[in-house]
Amino acid sequence: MEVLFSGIAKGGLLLLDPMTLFLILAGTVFGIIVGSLPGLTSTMGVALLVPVTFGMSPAMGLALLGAIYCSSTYAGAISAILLNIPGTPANCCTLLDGYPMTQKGESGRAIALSTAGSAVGGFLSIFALLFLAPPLAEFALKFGAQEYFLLAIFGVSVIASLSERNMIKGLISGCFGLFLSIVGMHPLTGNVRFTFGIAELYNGLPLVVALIGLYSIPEVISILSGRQEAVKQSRSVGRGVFGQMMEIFHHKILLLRATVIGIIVGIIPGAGSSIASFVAYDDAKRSSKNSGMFGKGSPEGVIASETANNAVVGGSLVPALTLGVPGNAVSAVLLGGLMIHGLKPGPVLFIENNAIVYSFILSLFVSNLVFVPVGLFIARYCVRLIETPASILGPLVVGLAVMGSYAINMSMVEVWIMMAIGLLGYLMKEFDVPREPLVLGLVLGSMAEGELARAMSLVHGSVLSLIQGMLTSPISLIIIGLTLLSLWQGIKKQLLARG
Amino acid sequence: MNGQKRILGTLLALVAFVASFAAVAPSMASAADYPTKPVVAIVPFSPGGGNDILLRLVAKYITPALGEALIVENKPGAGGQVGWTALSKARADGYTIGATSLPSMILIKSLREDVPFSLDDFQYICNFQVDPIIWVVNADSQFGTARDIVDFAKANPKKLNVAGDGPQSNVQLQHLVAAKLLEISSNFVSYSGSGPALTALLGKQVDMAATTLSSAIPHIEGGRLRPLVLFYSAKMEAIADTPTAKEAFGIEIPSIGMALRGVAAPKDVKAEQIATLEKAFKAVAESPEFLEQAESLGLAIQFMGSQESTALVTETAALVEQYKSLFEEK
Amino acid sequence: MAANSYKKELGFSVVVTGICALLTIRAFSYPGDSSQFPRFLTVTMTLLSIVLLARALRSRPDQAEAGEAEQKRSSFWTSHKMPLLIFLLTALYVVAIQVIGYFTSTVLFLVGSMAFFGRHRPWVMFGISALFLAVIYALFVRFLGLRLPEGLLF
Repeated sequence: MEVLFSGIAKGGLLLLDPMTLFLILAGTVFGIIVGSLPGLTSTMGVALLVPVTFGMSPAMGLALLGAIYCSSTYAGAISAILLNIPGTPANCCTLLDGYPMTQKGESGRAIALSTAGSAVGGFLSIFALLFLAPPLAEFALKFGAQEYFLLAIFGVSVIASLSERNMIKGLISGCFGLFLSIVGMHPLTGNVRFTFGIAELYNGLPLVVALIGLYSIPEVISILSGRQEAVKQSRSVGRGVFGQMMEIFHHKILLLRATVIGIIVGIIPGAGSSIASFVAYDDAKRSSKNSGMFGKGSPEGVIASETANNAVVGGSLVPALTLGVPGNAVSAVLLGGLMIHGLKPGPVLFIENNAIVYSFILSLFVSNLVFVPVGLFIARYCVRLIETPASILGPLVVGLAVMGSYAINMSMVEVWIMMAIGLLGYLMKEFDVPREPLVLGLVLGSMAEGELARAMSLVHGSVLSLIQGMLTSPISLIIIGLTLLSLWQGIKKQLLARG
Repeated sequence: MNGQKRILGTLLALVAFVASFAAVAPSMASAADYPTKPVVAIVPFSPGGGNDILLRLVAKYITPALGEALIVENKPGAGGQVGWTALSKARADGYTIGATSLPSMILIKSLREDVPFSLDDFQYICNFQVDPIIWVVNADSQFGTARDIVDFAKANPKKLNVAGDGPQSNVQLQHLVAAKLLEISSNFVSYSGSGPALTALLGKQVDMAATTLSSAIPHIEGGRLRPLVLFYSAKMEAIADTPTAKEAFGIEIPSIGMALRGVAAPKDVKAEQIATLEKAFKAVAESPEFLEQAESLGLAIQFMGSQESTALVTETAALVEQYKSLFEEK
Repeated sequence: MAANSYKKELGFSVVVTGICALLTIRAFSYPGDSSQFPRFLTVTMTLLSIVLLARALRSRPDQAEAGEAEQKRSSFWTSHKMPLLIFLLTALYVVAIQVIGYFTSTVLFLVGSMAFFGRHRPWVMFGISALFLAVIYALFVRFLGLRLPEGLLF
């Protein structure tokens, strides 16, 4: 406790430096650009700016990196809502309802809701990081191979609710996503499968590359073919935006649930913000009174997805700072940044570098406030994008897709992979196969395979002891229960729908 | 129609304009002094890993010695294969170099089929850091010493669960060689990196972990993990009390899995440029600020020049060849 | 219309079933301990696609309507022209990047496709392309220090 309060006091003082506040602002602007461009992810944004922070004091450098992390996680929603192309994998669920809202002429409202939801989710998760980090970190360690495997299965059960319109096609799409994700090396034996000699596929289909192809290319085709339903003009973002943002507080329970899901998923090392937003979306859909609206422009869908993925930010930093175990790829990069600034992550961090760590955590609060006005300001101009003539917007989106898929690993091979997946995405759209289950499968596949193989290896190949282990671990039981509940509710809905 | 013709004309003019520039550009670049622009270092791993942190730390201090910045470019994929392939095919103008990691590079080459790079495609500039493999257990583990582990594994063949980076990694190789020489059999469970492997150990999913020293240091200093044995001939400062393999077991175990991190350039880079780079890296390795920070992060800096590094590659390749069959046995 | 969509669905499910079956065969060609999960997935996908095929067959419309579909087939080119063109243009662009270089081919691609898909004044198209490249250059190259693909020219 004493460490906490002295840290808050000293960290707060460090944060009051005007230069630090300016860097947070600059980081936010940069993060929003990075986040909203498909292909530039939060991980890249932070990694690319680590060298820029060399010349700064650790407190300033970390505040800058933190601001990028917060704002880029939020900004992917802008392109998801306006263009039907998710800016980062975590915004895949946002477009399910965000884009239909745009089509209804409510793009301003959708952006206001996603901004407010992101800010609330982010803010609450930083609270958890500040006050609950040590116990939450212990919880993170309770996750072993079998829990991860069950978590992946739970994630897969969400496919059912993502594909209500056509269950069989949804399931095929999900399975294909899982399949594409496990292409490459077997996580335990190292045997290489289905790569056809392409080394870029050794660790599975690269997620961001796939996402760009899956959404950008079909979208370009549909806007250039003029096949898209007319998008109604939206009243500009800005007028009455405050009132629209306040709308999220009509959904207090939803906000809270999405935040908790985001924090928990964030804490678990290896699970990322995309899983959080899928799970929160599914949860919101099942618990909502208007679940029929989901997928047709439900504000609740946008709120759930965006709140959860920003709540991951605080969660993922819990094990990173307290144990030195990063919760996801972005926090791994942030940890690297910490170390280069001479800070040692782990239990001693909070004592040895008390002031810097707390100034970093406090700066995240500021970042979560700052991206609201900055985001709305930028979005106000982005809304005009949908008024751009198709013959100009289309080629630009292709240009960005090519650049984005190249920039991830500076590889032209991945540009070709992006195009192949683009063809797949076009065909899926053409034949009415939902694409979101495929993305979910891509996120979960290698986790499901690897963790099952590990869990089996840990019990020396005995299926019986694996099942016994699952039935005696409280966390495993809870996840199994949630999975069954989710499946049961899905089946019940299908039965009811058929009468 | 007319409009389209006009566009075509404009485009052609543009191409011609750009082409004339391109023709002039190379002749300007071939000036004698090197470097005149930032040097890019390909790191074939994701940001945040051991190689990445080392090179970023070097990049922080190298600018005065090199005269230009060193830019770290992550090109992860296939355990390093993608990045090293890219390095082997990069332009040999001295502005692209890459991080090397032995014995991982050699393992990839010798265990996989159709690897597009060869070990002779590189000129090894220097080696920078040694990162030996250790065995660690939880602080409250039932195993007090490395001997306890061996006794347990002998009494319960295949029952000892060992977490480690893998598969086909330097960590697994070290563990397999140690197990072979100690005549024990254990169950090596591969995790996607030393980080996840240590997390599994911290969560008590496994009995022990084999890991690079640098990844375990924060946990050892934090008091959560306890090192049992160091697979290296010399003591390491960060864990001065931990016995070496020779001390713990009384037999010599080659430090085959020890990660040796350095930098290399494509093979056709000019010798003067290699020398310039070697000198700049050497200057960093001797700079007190760099050393101080490296030490606090638990990185053991040991500088080896170009010739020594090249010899080391040959030497390590021979060792790997000798022991690689262990991966098949299981 | 019903007949048309019937044909489309049927064709789709036949192709999907075929692909799944091929993947299954491939999955069983890898060593057992490394391919349990792919085997499980490919078999599941094959079973699901067979269900899809069965459903498509069951929804066969009346003969009378089937004749209508024959007429519609001729419009294949008109309905698929756009996607094919876009893929072709993009592929040319990507090849051009590797051969000519990033900046030149991007200008060629952007201006070319803008002119192709719509009617704009040249200065608008060049202006937008230049702006695009300026943003890419400022953000990716200057600020983030990324290297653009290396071609023969720029």
